[in-house]
Amino acid sequence: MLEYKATRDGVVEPQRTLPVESEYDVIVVGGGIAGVGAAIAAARGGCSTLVVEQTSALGGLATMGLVNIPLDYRSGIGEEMIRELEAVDGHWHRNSDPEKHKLVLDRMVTGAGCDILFVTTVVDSIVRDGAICGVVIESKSGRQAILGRRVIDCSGDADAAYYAGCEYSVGRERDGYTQGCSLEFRLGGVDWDAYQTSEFKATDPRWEALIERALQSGDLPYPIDNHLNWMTHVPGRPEHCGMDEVSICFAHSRNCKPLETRDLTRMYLEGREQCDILWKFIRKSVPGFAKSWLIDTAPLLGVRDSRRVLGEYVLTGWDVARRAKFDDVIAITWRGFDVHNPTGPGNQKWFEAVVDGETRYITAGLDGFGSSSFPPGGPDALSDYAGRTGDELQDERQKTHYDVPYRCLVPQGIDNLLVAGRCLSADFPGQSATRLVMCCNAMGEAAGHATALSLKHDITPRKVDRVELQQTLIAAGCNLGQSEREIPGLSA
Amino acid sequence: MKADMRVTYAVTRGCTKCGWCVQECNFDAITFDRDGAHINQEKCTGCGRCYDNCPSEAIERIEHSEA
Repeated sequence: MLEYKATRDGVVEPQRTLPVESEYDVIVVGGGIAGVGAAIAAARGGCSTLVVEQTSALGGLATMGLVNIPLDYRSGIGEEMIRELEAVDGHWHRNSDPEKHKLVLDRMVTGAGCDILFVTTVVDSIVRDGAICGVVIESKSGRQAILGRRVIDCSGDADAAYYAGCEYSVGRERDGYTQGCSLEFRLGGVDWDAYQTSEFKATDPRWEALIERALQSGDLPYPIDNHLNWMTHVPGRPEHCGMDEVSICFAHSRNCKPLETRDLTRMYLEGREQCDILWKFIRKSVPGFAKSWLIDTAPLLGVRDSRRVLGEYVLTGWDVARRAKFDDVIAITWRGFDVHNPTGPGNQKWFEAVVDGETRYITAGLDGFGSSSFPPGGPDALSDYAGRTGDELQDERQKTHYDVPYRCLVPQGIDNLLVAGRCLSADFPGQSATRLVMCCNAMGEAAGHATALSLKHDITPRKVDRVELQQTLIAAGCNLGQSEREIPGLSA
Repeated sequence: MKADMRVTYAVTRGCTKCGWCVQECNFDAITFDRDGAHINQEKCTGCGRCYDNCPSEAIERIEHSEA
């Protein structure tokens, strides 16, 4: 036991020597969907690789968060993952079985030769001469050090980058609030066919009118949200017999500070109370749900954004709206803006910007009209990046994807560190569009290959040749949009 | 599928306007407007990619028996 000394400023922790638990070529901090991509890619690139995960399973929000909706491009390791899920009847209609998904990822990550530490938290980064060279962990085995030649921060909260001293931003510029956080839940005993064919679903598919009525009648005590965010049909269960299973995104905490443990606790407490209200309301009010029951609420809170590391490039909302292409593309995505209102009900598929002294509300396409929370002036106030509104508004999403450049994974200031996943270098609206499951997985895969190349050539990840990285990614089956356009320097 | 069976796809009123099917279609057969997705039956090849990838299961598969 250490001797702690209480002082007026706090408790002084004495200096101590940490045992080195292990040494690896690559340490992946966080075994979520980005970490899985990073670890498998690094291991396949010949690196000894360790994944440090704070929960008890891989997959992060895609599994422990019950976000069983792996949307966006199927590419590289993400494509493999979906094929593996399909092989065990764990995927249909872009909906996955979160339980089968855990096992698929266990097998993919260990099968690639990676080691894993579950229920282990990274609590500090070890930095020497401006380069990260390990992390400090805490677990049942106590406080230990792990040394690594490269670290990939897929923690979602950019923990390793933060401890290493990287610059970062949190939340929207105006008030620092992140997007609303959701606790997902699953219901069993759902008559899916009755719901799908109901007049209710046909006329009120997002439940907006239903929620409005319920708020007036008192069936819902307060506007947890003003629409059903999504409901997925969990595969591999009994179906067409009134015994289907669904996963629902509806509960929301607002005014969130997901980097403060007291506020995280508040959100878990609030989330479970909201799920209790919601599932009973759904059972009473929605056709096909009269015999449904609550299976579970997610063990992991759906935090959509927290720290965004300052990298060599900051992906902006304008890049998303313009469908920007970059020479150093390492992942592509199609998604538009998706901001769960930080301070009130509703979803905002737009962002606010001042152009020539005038406030504008920029959307990536017609999905802007699908917002459930509109800017002042309503849908007509939405414009595309070129200022077109109303019927003139262009849906750029229908024409092309946009790129995530390698520079968004390379933090400024600290060497031998990459970030991937929701903590990428982006502004608030840019991050809202790139945070989806498959895009995070693709970023992770790119970071994994980049660390392998940097070790092979004994250079920092910052100096990795982007053409060699892109060739490696394409050879591994990744979609960088190479069929749509010529990437400079890449021979066809 | 039987040889004399023709399959078409249609967007139902359950469309949540997410637009994902537009991205999935390899034949530019799906357009999107304020009302949601629309399938152009002349361009549609019946591949079923939209049906398989609609996260809301809002695309209907219709089997037509040909006499």
